[in-house]
Amino acid sequence: MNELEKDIALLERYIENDLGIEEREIVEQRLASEDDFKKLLDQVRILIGGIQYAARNKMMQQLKDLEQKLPEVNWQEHVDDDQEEEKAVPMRNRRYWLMAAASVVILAVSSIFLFNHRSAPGDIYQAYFETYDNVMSATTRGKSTVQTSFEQAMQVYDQGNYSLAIKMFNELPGVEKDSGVYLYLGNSYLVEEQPDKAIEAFEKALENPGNFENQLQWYRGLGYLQAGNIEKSIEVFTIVKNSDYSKSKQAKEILKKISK
Amino acid sequence: MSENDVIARIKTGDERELGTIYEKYRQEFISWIIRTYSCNIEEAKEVYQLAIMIFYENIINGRLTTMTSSIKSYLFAIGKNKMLEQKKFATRFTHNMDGTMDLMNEDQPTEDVEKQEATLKLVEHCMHLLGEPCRGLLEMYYYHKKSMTDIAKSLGYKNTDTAKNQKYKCMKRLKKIFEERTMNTV
Repeated sequence: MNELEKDIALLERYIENDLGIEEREIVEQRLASEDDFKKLLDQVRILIGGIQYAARNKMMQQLKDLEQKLPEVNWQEHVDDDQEEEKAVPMRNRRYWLMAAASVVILAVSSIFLFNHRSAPGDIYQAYFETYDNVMSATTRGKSTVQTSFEQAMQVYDQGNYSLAIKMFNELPGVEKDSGVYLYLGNSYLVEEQPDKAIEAFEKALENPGNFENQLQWYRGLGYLQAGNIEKSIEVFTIVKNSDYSKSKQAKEILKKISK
Repeated sequence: MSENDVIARIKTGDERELGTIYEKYRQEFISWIIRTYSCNIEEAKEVYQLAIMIFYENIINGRLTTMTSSIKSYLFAIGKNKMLEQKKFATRFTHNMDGTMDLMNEDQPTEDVEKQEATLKLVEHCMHLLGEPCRGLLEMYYYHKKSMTDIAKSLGYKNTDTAKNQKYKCMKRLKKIFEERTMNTV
């Protein structure tokens, strides 16, 4: 352990009230006399808070994913006034409802088409593709004091300017291009109907997928559908079907349609 | 299995148990929240997810070790509190900078809250850049309160000392990424 690592360890114990009287006094003396040490304490506190924040958000997302897999709750019989329910939809959920409504329309239109025609890969793609939502940054908060290049790119992505988003994601420094960046880059390519580039982005991310492995496979499968490559899309959707991802059911549906 | 056994299993990191709890009380809780507080289903689901998360956090932080009532009553009590708070203050959750998690203080100026939230989001993004296994290791230690022995076992480290050293190295890396990004954006 070098000096910095030792100081971090010491300050963590200080925060956790895990120091003896003597050690605590030494830490407090250093905090009073060394600006860098004081700054490090503040940073360690911020970082621990941020780690917990990130983990909590991840956990909330896992609960949401679990919720998606479960059958809808039968609650209507307990609510007397449907109109009241409609009015209660809060602003923050509007986008969700709009997206949900749009999906229903797309699915309805596609279903009519699919019932009357053989399932072409492009049609299946249209029925199932929705851009991956921004779960990385709160770009709607205009007052935020810190907006990174990545967040700027995400803002453009959120606004639906996918060609500019592609440019901005590609211009991020190599070190920042992790699986999340490639996931959004690939999505942008799909919207712009450039499936080969989208697949390339997803495959690059899958070399080190982090927490996005399922999402990357799902969109890679859609990429192959857009490109009309049935063989590869079957291969990828089989992976998704066998995973614990919330879209595994949809992957099964797609496989059924492709195999018809 | 008794409810105290369930808590013990969640404490040891059995995440499936939490999923089972989620499914078990979901229908009843969500219907009850909608009926009692006239909220919509999405809000009801959000409150239920929050209640499950608080239940989990209270277990891992050692605030809930044995059940004096039932898990169901416990979840419903959290749900009730959250609904009342939301109605009163439009409460939001945040993390204090001393590393503890809490509700946002409604007396805190909005600007401070937003600044604090932006900083936390920045660290969250830095965590994403940090990648695995560091990200998982730090989350296991600081959020899930896993012991170094468990972390070493989960991540395949030789022993707890290796895991501990790795943790400090990960913190150092996270600090570096955070500093770079803070400097770039100031």
